[in-house]
Amino acid sequence: MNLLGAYHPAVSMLHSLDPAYKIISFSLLFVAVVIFSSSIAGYFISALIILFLFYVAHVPVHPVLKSLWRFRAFFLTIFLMNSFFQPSETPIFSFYFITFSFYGIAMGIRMVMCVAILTSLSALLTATTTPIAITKGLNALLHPLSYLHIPVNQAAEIISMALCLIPLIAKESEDIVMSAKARGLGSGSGKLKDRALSMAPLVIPLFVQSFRRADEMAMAMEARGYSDGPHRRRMRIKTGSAEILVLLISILILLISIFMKGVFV
Amino acid sequence: MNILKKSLFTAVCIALCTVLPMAFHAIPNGGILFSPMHLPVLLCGVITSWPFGLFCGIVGPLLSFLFTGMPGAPMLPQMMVELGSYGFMAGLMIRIMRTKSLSANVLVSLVIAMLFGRIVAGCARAFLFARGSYSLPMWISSYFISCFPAIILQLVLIPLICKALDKAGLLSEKTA
Repeated sequence: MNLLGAYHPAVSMLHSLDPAYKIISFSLLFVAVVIFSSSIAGYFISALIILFLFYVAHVPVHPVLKSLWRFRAFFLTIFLMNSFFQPSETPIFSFYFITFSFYGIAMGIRMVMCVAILTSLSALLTATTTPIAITKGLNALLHPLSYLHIPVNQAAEIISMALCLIPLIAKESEDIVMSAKARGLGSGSGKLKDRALSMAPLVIPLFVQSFRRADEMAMAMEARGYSDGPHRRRMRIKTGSAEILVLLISILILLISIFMKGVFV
Repeated sequence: MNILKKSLFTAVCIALCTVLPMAFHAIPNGGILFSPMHLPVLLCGVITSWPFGLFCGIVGPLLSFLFTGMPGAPMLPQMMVELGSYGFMAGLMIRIMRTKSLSANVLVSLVIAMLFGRIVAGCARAFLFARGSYSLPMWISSYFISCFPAIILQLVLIPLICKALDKAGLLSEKTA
């Protein structure tokens, strides 16, 4: 089971929170984790906070760790990039622009830990909130921008349409891959170059079919008198005691992280 | 092309920002080598206009992150800046280009957009996201060397897709 990005249905306080408050609180926690990542103690605190949140949300941790392991090549790339390209005063060896140093290794480990912790936190946000709820939350949060004549409603409409189109296009891509395989194309084996070239006959039909579908949808919507205007109903933010409590805890954690970094000292 | 059609085409490109990386992950390290999310963003800028390209570049990675968890949270703001710049510049350049060949217009717009996006993303990382720990060699290796296959793939595929869309009668007269 891949939990990264997937919604995990459960009954918990985190699941029932208003999406707008949840987005704000998680954003504050993201910043706190980044600030905490300047020390080993900070990593420990971040990990504890995330484990506690997983426990409160009744979301299992094991599938997230399993999903993170799938991206080991990505983590290895981050580590190697930092290990070999970080400028350092005391390199182990240096050749032209390649500098391998203990500082680079430490930076690499730090970056990988930070990415893993933040990815777990983002997995928790998506595990406790449906994509539609996240869109509604973003729409509610962005509403003040409409006073600056930024078309927030239109933006929300595009996001909603994209959310509806994702499963359709995913199904379409599957069909194209299957039909290509049936014709002996895109076998997905051989050298990297061959495998990449085998994607071209799959990508072009996918784009053409998706745009044709969008064109037909536009015609159907116009025929039914669709118009995008400022009359559309605005999403209201629900403010209860749980929302206030979660927001206050997030602010407190952020303040602790700033205090620990020594900004106030 | 009217606003509704542009909105729907942008929605398709945003959806493709989530679907294409999933398909490319079938190739080992395909996501990093071929940067599949760049394809729909650049195409969105080229076939709609710069505001829609910019929007697609910002929202595409965000939705992909929400659906698949990738790009990872620390990479997300950097990618939003980079892809937003691509979409913005691709849309702006296609309006400025005045040659009679669609492929030439698209290719020149793509090259300028890709260069602009990389410069903006590099500056963003150097002055904002990785302040003090970012260097010119890191910029060159991450935006030109490691993703060289992606650059070639985009320069080959996007004009081909534009031609296919033009043949299917889906492009506006201005782009075609």
